[in-house]
Amino acid sequence: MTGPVAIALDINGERVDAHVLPRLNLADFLREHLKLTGTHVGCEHGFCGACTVRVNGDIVRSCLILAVQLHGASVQTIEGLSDSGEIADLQAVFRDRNALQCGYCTPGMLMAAQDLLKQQPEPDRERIREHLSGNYCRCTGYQSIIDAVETTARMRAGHRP
Amino acid sequence: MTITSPNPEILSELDRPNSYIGKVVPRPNLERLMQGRGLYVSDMELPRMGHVVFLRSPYAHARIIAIDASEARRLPGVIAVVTGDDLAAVITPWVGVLSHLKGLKSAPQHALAIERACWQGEAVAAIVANSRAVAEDAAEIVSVEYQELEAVTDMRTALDPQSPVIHASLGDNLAFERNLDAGAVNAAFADSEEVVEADFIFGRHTGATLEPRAVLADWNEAERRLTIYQGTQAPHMVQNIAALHLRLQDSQVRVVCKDVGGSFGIKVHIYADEMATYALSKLLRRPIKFVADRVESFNTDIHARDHRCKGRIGVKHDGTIMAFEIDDLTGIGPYSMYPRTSAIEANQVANLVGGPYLTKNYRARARVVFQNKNVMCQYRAVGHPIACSVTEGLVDLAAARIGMDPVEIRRRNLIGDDAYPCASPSGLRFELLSHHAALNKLMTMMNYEGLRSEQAQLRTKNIHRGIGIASFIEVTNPSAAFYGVGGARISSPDGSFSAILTTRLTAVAHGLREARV
Amino acid sequence: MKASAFSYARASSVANALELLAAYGDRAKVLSGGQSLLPAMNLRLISPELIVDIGELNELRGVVVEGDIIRIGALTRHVDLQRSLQVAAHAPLLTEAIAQVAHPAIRNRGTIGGSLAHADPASELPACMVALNATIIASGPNGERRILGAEFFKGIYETELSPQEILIAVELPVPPKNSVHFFDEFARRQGDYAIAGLAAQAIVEGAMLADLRMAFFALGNRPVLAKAAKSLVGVAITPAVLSEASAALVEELDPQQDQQASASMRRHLAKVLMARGVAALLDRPDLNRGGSA
Repeated sequence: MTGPVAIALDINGERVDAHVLPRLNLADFLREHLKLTGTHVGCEHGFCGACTVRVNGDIVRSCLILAVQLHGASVQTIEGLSDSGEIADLQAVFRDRNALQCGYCTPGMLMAAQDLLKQQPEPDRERIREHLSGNYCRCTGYQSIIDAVETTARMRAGHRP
Repeated sequence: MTITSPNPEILSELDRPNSYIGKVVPRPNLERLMQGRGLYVSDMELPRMGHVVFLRSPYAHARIIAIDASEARRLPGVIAVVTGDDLAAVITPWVGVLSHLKGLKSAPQHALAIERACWQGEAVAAIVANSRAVAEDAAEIVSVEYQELEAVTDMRTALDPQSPVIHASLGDNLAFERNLDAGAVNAAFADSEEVVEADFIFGRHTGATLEPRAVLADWNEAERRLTIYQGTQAPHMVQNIAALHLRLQDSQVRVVCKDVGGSFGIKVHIYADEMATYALSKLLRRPIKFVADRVESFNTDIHARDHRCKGRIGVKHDGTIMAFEIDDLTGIGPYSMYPRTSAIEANQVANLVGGPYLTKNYRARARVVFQNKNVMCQYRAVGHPIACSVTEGLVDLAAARIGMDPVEIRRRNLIGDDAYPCASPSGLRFELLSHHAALNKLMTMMNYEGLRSEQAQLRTKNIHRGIGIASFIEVTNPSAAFYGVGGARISSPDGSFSAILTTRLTAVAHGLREARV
Repeated sequence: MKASAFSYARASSVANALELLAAYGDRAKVLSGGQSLLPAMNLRLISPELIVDIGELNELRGVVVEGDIIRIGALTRHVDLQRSLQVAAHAPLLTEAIAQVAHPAIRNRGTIGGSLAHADPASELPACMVALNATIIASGPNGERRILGAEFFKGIYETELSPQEILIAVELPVPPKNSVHFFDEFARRQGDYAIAGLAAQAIVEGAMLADLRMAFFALGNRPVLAKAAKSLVGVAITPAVLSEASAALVEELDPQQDQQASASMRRHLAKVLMARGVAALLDRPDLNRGGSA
């Protein structure tokens, strides 16, 4: 059927029921249907990482998933991570280190960075670069972003920044 | 909030109470951007908003014989399919020239192509629908009959008599030429002990902002006011130009610049598809949104830096640089960009080559030609990368020819740190530069000698490491006049004046500068 | 950049998916992880009428070792392979290669079946299948069929699969104890498609290679199992022997030229990879003296 399909899923802890066209991807579903515009669209074919969100705990490209694939799934966006306080420390270090300029890549970058910090307590800079390699930033030159992630990791491990 | 001064013991004349000048202050927008609560134009929606998709020419140069949109118009969700002729009733064409670039010429450019498409990617029809997806569906079934015309693609042959002239009314494909001859160049080359020549070839590239160009235009027919939400670096310019070409007063146009997802000079121009979006809103009497997708971005954002530059340097065996000469050629597409033109980059190359060096003997020719490719213009670091690569490439080649270390030849030729104020052969005025101090500091920081010996060692292991040195003068602090020169308007020209800073973060350091004003 | 409209069916079983494919033929596309399919659809390079989503067929997921065979279900995600202790123990080449496949967010969705069925000649997993002498198992209207990895890939995005078939699993022989492997690729950015790459699996006996399978990728229209590698088996490898093999290697490669690299640059990189590979497999750094790319 090219017509709308019913889906029910959890978004940032809220149950959402919707009817979506099969061709609607998750990024557009979040932005256009739910007005969660913190998930950005930079390339729409999986290269830039601006649309990175979490699905069932894993980071994914929301432009490369259809909303209809997410029936029963749990989705977390930058708005959800911000409100829960999960990345408050990471955001504070991003601010202190000025690790963003235009801010368009930032939600996706924070998603990817938090994903790494959850998996590996104290990643070295090489590992940080590798994990963020799928997220483009056109403003900062990345240095300050790597610094911020490294500093957050050290702080979480109980070291001084 | 913390405000820190580098040296709290000493107050400068700018250190008045409550002054923010020179202080590091927090950026107020960071929380919003980090929480995903920014507001970019691509995020915005208005009631009754239509989405426009542009059908773009697949040919570099073609006559448009007929456009049949009847099937597309019947597609559910399609609001309108508009052609160049339809839109011409609402918006007038423009010519991208400025008065300070003497002799620069260009042809009238329309918001949508009329009769002829002049580059692959020029918009020939606008499809407005209630979603971007439906507009794309409809664009696939608009049928355009084209008659392909001979295209001028190679800048090197654009001026040949046998090449077709893209705009007959202009007589030829030469948009702009500047010649500069300072000092005694012929005599200096004659006195040189070595003369080295090289061709420097630069490919087209573009700024690739992470948020593509985005505009939402909202014409209210009852109020006769146009509100333009646009990710732009120059909102006042947009206001003035939109009013001018839509035949409105400036006071009827309001431009709102929300968060901007990167600009780098890409969003300081007025693009035809953006003009078409303003005009569509007026024509259709409803809000119209255009957001370029990534492919459109690559194909229609201005390209830059496509130059072929012949360079020549004369040198003595003791390392004295006697003269520089360049012959720079650049192809800018079929139109000079509006309103800042596409001649600035080549002009800047001519201004900057040889800049850091003592010689007063400098000759330059810069030619800017039309071709059937996407429009080319300037973005970040206008002309500097070309000028620096050519100058420093020539200095390196000269050093190699006379067997001198590349640092040593620079030491012998850089303008002395005590020579200021002075001017370059092209007339740029320099104040308090410090090439020698900078070079000395750099040599220490990088441990130049150590790196050279490591390089030699690695070479024996078949590892080829390069060590590059470049001197460089960046044009800084030229003031707002730099952007307003020659008739490019950066503020309301209708008599009113107010100092309102309304641009948002568009690039590196922009936010910092704003926070410090 | 929005996909064309299509119909969507969530398959309830392999049989159900095959029925749908039988009805729609090449107007249908199987959706697994979607990390190659959806970009192509967003760009409207393809516009299928029907998407058959096999994402909920859990029987196609997972890694099982049975005797001397490792069976990997088609829906096993890249990240699952990367974390699998069984894969690390029995097919470490795959563990190493998978880290070069795209980026974490893509590896969380992309599947081995999807990658192999997509058959991008610059991607890592097809070459690994060839190097590891995998058997690819497809299910179709006439039951299952088994296809050797080296015969599965036909060209750019072309495989032995018919539009009515689904790739359901791959089987890898567990390599003998004295096996060694090598993986390396050149790419502009970590995770990008390779400009040139090599996946190799070998058996070492004493100071010699008793078996050597070198699968080069991004160097032709499909992974290339180098015939030139034969001349390195069962002989004492000297720089001269290696150089002869390199010369033979570039003769059998037909690399494309694109905006990333010329054909001759790709040939050069293939030689560099071969030297690095042989040096690493035999732990003989002396064979890689000219190894800068």
